[in-house]
Amino acid sequence: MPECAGPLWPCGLTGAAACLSGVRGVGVIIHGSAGCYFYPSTILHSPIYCTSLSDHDIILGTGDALVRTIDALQGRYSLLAVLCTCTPAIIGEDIRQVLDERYGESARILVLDAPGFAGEYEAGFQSALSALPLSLDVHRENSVNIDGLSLMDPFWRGNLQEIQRLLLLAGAGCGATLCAGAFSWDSELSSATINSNPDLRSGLGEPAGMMLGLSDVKKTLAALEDRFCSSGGVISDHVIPDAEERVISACDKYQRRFDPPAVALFGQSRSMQAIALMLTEYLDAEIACIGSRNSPSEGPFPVEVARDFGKVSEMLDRERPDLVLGSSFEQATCPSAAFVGVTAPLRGVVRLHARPLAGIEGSLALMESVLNACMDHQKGSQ
Amino acid sequence: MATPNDDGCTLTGALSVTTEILRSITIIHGPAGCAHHNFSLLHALHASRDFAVPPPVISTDMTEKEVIFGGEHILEEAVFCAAEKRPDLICVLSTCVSAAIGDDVEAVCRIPSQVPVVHVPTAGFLGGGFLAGHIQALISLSRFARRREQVPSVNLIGEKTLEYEVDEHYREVLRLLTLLGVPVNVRFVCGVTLDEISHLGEASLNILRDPSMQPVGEHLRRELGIPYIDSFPLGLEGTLRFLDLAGRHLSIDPSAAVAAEEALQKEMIGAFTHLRRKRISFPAAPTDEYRSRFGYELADMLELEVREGGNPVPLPDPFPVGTSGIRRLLHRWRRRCHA
Repeated sequence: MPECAGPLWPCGLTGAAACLSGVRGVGVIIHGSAGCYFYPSTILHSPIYCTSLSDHDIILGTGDALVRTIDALQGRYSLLAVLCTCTPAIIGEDIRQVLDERYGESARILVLDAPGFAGEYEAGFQSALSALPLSLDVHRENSVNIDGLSLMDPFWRGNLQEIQRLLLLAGAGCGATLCAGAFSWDSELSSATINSNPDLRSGLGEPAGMMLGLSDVKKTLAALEDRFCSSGGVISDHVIPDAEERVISACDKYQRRFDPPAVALFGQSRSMQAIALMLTEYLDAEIACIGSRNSPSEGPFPVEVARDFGKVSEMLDRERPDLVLGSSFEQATCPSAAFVGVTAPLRGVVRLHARPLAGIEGSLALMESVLNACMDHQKGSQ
Repeated sequence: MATPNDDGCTLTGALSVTTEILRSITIIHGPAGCAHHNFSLLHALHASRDFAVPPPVISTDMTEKEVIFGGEHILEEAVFCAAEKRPDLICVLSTCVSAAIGDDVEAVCRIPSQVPVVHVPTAGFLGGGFLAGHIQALISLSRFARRREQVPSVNLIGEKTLEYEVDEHYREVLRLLTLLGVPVNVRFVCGVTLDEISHLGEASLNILRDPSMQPVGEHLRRELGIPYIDSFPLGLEGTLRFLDLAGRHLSIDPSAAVAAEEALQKEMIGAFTHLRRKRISFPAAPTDEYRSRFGYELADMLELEVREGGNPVPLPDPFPVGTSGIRRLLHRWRRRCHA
């Protein structure tokens, strides 16, 4: 039975739009209905465009609607990306041919098949990234790219700022930021890349570590300092020991009064694994379950696919955790547990500042939120 | 300019209705992405209305396989599974994809079931925009209502349940109707049961949310014999006119209600008199004549000077309902004048 009760994760089209709308110089056109446009445009907060296909276009061909849209955008972007949604994919029109006949070499236009029925968010994101004509400079070794940034991630801005800060402290420059911030598609990538979200790895550049979860952050920063700071570094000597001491001290204080929480995590598989590891290492938390929005990955904890509200409800009913990390969907499903938002969407709360989840400050922010939520929950239950 | 039409998706319009029926399940026959877009939107709006749990929405999770070989069988299975949960009603919404591949959704919905199954044709752009979906869903659901003996009461038709202030608008209309001594019979459709919908025919007047709901008003007039007023009350004068019109439709003398509301409006305006002679400006983006009219009415009433370079004040769309809505708006204007 293909029943999917309340799907919780976007389709490949949204993934592709999230990727490309985070790259400067790229104009993103959703070739489909206005309905397919509204959701990505609402959550990405970035200008994207739509051909707003109608029944008329479906019968007579969608080329005219696409050409009208492209003509109106001429001169505003150095590269246009046409994302073909479900309906153009079904009717099988040769969009590339339409565009070649109309524009030839006069406009740089990418055409991507991104029908929602064909894949998940991460697949759409990766597919769009690999379609970009990016060039990597193997000799650009004084800076490091950051990948795993997505405009759909509520933590992207904080992650970017935090990793840029840490790169600066480590003596490295900031290379391309894939795919958010100031990165332009026609600038060259550095030779190495650090990752802010292990579920959205670009595969571009030599992997230089991951910035989610304090253990990985420590390893990554130590390697960066070895590479860029000839005389040792302030991060390994001061920043990390200080941060780790603060986390240990706060967790120790919590554990003097309370038992560690049983935790349920919901989000992208690898990211949740990294967070779960940190919770066990520093808080001795019991990982009750991990529900993955995307295809599950190997890791230290078992992962179940939880892409819909029905499955999430079933897991939370079964495990009855003390603490839930996830999206506001999980918060709504399990109001009796302490909650920390780590996964989009995070509705019903005001979020103004650039909160990180990655890096040292991201780890501190997460542990701070976890401890506060658990303490509030304990007080409430008393 | 390359922009989408601002009407939105038919599916979203229909979902804004079907998910408001208590103890019902909505099935979206299409890829999970279509359902996610809408489920997430509904979740956001429900969160802002302090509803804890998102409404039950099921996707048939159509994949490439169904796109090639047809998806009627997965819809049939989804209807069967939904019926096993014993809801009062199952609403089936089609999508661009199911329409483009030619699935006969109506035929699947006609298969006898223990639970009533209603098909709302909402094939995304193939079925029109948001408004078309909203209207289509209301008309489809009205089949559960019958002509009945009418009692002095009103139905509220076509409330925009995705509006952030939907409950505030409702409470204001309720307050005004209470001045006339008239109860609300059914909110069609906002947080009601199927049984309540079946009592739609008992009201003696329908009040439409706005003139865009006229096709529904006309349909209900033909089918149930209920006349309608074409909009919730907007503007100061408009609110008084609304009381007068509703009173006359319901054969109630509205003069006491109108006098009471007029006094309330004077008191409210009095609280904002220190804004007098402030310079304000309305949004530069094209505003419809409708909203501008209410904006200028307020400006005249408070002796505000509307001119370029004045303090930019909002003219929201939709315009706030009734006197209470205007009070909230004037607070926003005052904040802008102080900022």
